[in-house]
Amino acid sequence: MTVKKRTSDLTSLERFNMYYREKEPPLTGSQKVKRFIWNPKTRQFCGRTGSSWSKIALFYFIFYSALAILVAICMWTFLQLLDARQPKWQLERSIIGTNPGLGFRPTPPEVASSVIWYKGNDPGSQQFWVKKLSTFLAAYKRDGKKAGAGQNIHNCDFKLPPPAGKVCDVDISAWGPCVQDNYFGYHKSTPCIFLKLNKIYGWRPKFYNSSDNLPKDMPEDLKEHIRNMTAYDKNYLNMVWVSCQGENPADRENIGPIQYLPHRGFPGYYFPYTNQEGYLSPLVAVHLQRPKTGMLINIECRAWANNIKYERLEAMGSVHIEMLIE
Amino acid sequence: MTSRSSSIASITDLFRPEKNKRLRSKDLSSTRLNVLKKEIKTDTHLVPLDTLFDQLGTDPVKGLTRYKAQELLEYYGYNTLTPATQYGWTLVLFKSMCTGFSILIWIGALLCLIAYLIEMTNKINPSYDNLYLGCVLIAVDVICGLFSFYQNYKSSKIMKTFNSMIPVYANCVRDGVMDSETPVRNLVRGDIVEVKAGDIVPADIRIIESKGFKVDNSSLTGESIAVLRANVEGTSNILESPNVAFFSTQCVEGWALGVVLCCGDLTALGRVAGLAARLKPALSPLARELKSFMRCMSLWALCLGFFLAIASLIIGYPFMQTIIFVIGIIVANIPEGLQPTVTASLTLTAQLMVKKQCLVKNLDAIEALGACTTICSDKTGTLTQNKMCVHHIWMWNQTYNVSKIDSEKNNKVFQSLTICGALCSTASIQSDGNISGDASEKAILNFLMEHDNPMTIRDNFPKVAEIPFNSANKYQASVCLNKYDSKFVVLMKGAPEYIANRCATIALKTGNTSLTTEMMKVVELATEKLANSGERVLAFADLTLNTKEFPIDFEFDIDNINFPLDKLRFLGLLGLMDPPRQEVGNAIRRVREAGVRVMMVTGDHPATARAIAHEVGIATSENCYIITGTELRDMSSDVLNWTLEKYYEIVFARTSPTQKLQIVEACQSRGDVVAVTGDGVNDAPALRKADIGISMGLTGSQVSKQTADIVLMDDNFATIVTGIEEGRKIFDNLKKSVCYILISNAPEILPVLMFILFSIPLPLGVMTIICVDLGTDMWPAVSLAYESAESDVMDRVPRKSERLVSARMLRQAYGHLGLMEFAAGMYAYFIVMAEHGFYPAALIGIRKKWDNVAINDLEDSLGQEWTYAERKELERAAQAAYFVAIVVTQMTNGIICKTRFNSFFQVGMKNRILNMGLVFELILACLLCYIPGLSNFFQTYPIRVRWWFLAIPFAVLMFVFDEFRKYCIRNVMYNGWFNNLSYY
Repeated sequence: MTVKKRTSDLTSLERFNMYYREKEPPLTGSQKVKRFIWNPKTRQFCGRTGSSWSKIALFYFIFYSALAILVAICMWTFLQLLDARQPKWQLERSIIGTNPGLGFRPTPPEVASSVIWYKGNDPGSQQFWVKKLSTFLAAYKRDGKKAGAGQNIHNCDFKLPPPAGKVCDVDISAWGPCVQDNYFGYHKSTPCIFLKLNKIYGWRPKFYNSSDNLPKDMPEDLKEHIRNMTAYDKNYLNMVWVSCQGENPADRENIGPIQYLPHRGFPGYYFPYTNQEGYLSPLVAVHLQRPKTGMLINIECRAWANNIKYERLEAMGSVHIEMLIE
Repeated sequence: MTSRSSSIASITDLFRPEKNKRLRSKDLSSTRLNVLKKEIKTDTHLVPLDTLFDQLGTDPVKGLTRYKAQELLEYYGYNTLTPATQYGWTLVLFKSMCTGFSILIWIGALLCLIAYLIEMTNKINPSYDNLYLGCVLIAVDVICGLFSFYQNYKSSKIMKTFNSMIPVYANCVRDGVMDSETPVRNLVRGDIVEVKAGDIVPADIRIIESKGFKVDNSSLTGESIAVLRANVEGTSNILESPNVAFFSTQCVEGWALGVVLCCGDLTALGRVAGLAARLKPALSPLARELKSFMRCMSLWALCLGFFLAIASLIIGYPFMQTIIFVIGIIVANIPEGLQPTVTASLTLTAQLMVKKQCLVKNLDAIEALGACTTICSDKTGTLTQNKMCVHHIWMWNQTYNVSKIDSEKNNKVFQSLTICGALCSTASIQSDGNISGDASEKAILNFLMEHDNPMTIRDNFPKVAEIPFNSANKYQASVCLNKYDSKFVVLMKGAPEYIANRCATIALKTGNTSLTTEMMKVVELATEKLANSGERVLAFADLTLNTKEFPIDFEFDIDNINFPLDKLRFLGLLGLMDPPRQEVGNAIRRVREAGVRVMMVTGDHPATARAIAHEVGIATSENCYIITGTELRDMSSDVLNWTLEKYYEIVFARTSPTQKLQIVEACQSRGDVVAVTGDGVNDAPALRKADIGISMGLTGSQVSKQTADIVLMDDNFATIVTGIEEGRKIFDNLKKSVCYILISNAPEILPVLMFILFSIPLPLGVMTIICVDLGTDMWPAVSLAYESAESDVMDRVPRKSERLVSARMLRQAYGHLGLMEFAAGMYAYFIVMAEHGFYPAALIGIRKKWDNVAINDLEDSLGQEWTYAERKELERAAQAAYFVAIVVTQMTNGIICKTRFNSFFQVGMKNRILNMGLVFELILACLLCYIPGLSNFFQTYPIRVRWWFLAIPFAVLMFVFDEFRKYCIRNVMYNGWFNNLSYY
């Protein structure tokens, strides 16, 4: 084999050039993008021809439909297996547990805020809360026209627990100052807050129904009240007690006297909740009779029963409310 | 860069020890690199010696003055090799923690900590979730960073090994006094040094005076043949110039006095070392792929996160919420497990290769070997044994292969030839049985050892006189006394044309005849034939002197020759060559079958190179193209490119170290993945630059081993074939691993979208995502590396356009299997919610209330009211169910990803590591769910046993769907539609 000198070998350079001439000139970036979006030569849109696109669309349509159908079938089958009236898991077996929390109305509009804030001399700002409360209480208004809903409502008493299938009535008209006609006391800077105990399916409270073994951290006024009630009528002791007080010493001074309406708690005859038709949560109206204005008051309300545990951080058995009247 | 001419003056300036103030050290380093890449251009070996002495200001007898030497030393620095600027390990660690996904994870961690700080300042009792998450993300970053650090950090000791080649002391003449203890580092240009046999040349020197001075240039040329150096006319290429001896080469014989031409980094060795140490090896194909994939993923994650953040802020989500789902999107989009998986898989393969006597120093190299398209192999020591052997014997009119010579044992000519060989060979047998001497002399003696006993011959023929070989007469002769008949014999060995001309007769089997012109022609032809097959041919002749003229007490004088050296009897020819290693031929055939091109790049002669190339199968036809270094120097890079394109079989001969590098770079610029095999110092730059540098463990020099990515511990070239096979297999299996990892990405991203679009409580938390990515997915992903090859990987051509992560894989991972996992997860999530009273319809749109801490009485579909803490616990339970659904479906995916093509039923569950991995996945998921501390930390929940089974219908569907898909792919059904869609 002879090795040629190719110092300035023109023929090889020419052949070299020829070799590279056969290749297409490289496309610029924008040309490439254009060619990708619509290639007139191959009639491709985004790298695929029309038939290719339709095929792939058809495939994914079928595939995703099949997937959706599988999900739907599984879901439907499963939901059929569930009882529509009662939860699959109840009380201890459910994550909801046996420790109801407290809720309050009216709820503030801001996210993650529990401040009820209004101006005492501005009807507009009061109106907001009043409206919220009336919407909330609308469900409690007994309306004779509403058939079905009112049918199984029963006027309960401590001596008169509801018969099977009936639910107890919550009479909102008898709450003294905390009625809509009175603007729930908001126009007088003596606002009412409504407390409700969380509904837990099948939960029965264990009442503090004697004045003997009341917990140490129970406020004195509640203890006093229970003692009074013991003297008055033992039936009235079957109650999930409620206490509200300022969180800090300053708040306790600012909050002023508090009135609980209609009872100082949730009467026992409302329990247990079993998803009855027309069941209404019992309410306690907390009437702040002389709250200090122009100051933020931290209020903590607690529900008291033997089987309600309390933990402030997790808001177990309690609720945190802030009130600011300007 | 400023245009710097590569004249000696500027190079010298460039390598001065004092930092050039105008250049930053990085610029300086790259300027030096560019200078080193050029061929040496100098005329110091061409000019007459006197002119040179004038230039250098030295005197051939007295040497430099001490004062001048000191001055020069201070100006130019020590005669050592300057190490390249190296990044410290801290910097490399820092870099590996801030590349690819890491930056995004840092962003995520930062966002977490910001969120925590905001919460801490706003709330009295901040939850530690964000703090934990931030810390976990930082930990993830550090772990991934350590994995890539492990893969990236190679402490470069190249310069150290080079420096160890340099002697400590030299014999140097200064002020007319010879000092044999001059430290080599103190030598400067113009010093006069003396080198004796056994010494290592202390700098590049030009010979002034010498006697039988032979140096072994193997450190520069790779050929361990001693070459003669003397004060003769130089040739233009300094590397081949016969009047220059180079730094670090060893003097084998004789002595010489020389003047130092250049020192340290400017010497030929210094350039090689400088190149090897300063070159940045190209990113491996795998690293390139991962890099581009990571870039795409990160960009996508950032864009998605940014877009969603903007959108949600516009919609009116609070800032904290936005931060949370930006973190979610980022963490979900990033396959955190990728880097650890790749590193672990490669490490496993590397360990496997160690068992096959193949040390993988650079993990990426093993995969790169699978992708390799071109192998540039050195010849000497790599393809050949680097040991001269007698290969052919020619006695009158017949060429015998060395293995078939036994039949000629009784041939008289052969006997004479053995006697002549034994007496002419200057190699000696030491007491320990080792043979020492020049390579070809050793070869002759080795050959004779097998057929006769040269020692007995030497005893029976005591040597009385010897004319040593020199470049002028090209022969070596000795006179011995035949003890049997007390006659003197003249024995001669040398280049065939010289010997034949001195012969009058020729030995035939039948007796001696006179050597006719025709017979001379035959001898010449035989010589040419042997020479053409790359052998070094030596001719042997003898002459028995008659006792009358040369009685037993005759005094032979070798200075004034008083005995005849012509009218000899021609005995025969020996063809010597460095034979190829046994396994090489077969290995090269297999490599070529696998679509890899093999080229030879050698410093040896073209004829030898071609002969070996033909023998080992690098060249199979006459089309084999041979390019010598000189031709290469005249080629423009375009012509070289064109040549590489045009000819498939190419042999590069007589190449310099820089040219080897040039060839590698030319191949790489064509898009080739280049493997370089080499054993010498001269291969170091090419080894370094190549995608895969392969060095020989036994014969290889320290430098080459230090530079290489892979070291073949037993020098077995065939290991490269295994390497290619393993490399291709690991690529296939890495695809499976990556696909496996990517599949779980879809069910991680989509929950966040559901959260935003449908306002349902978050179906999968960020912590749980990390649990999947870096927990449960890890072992199965790595264990897919243990899958056996699905088809014969060596039948394929090297992957060139095949991507690790292709659109098809993304379609398969995100569009098909991932969505099914997502469906399974959402199903589990909805069921857990429904069992607790939140029916799917009730969940949609509930998010705002659900996540509102102030709402303590959220009503579900059955009228129960949930406090914030209760529903958050429920959310955790539902998320845990989602997590478990991912785990269950990912276990199915482990089985699905085992194969890309074959059916699961063909392959079976033979991969024990994967089986263990699946069990591990299950156990880990259980631990994460049921160990109290862990479940709190990772936001999981001890879920009910029945919820584990929710994903099973989906797992079955996935399996069936994928088996169907593979069936279609195997049978190329629907015109190969599925193949195009999702055969990754």
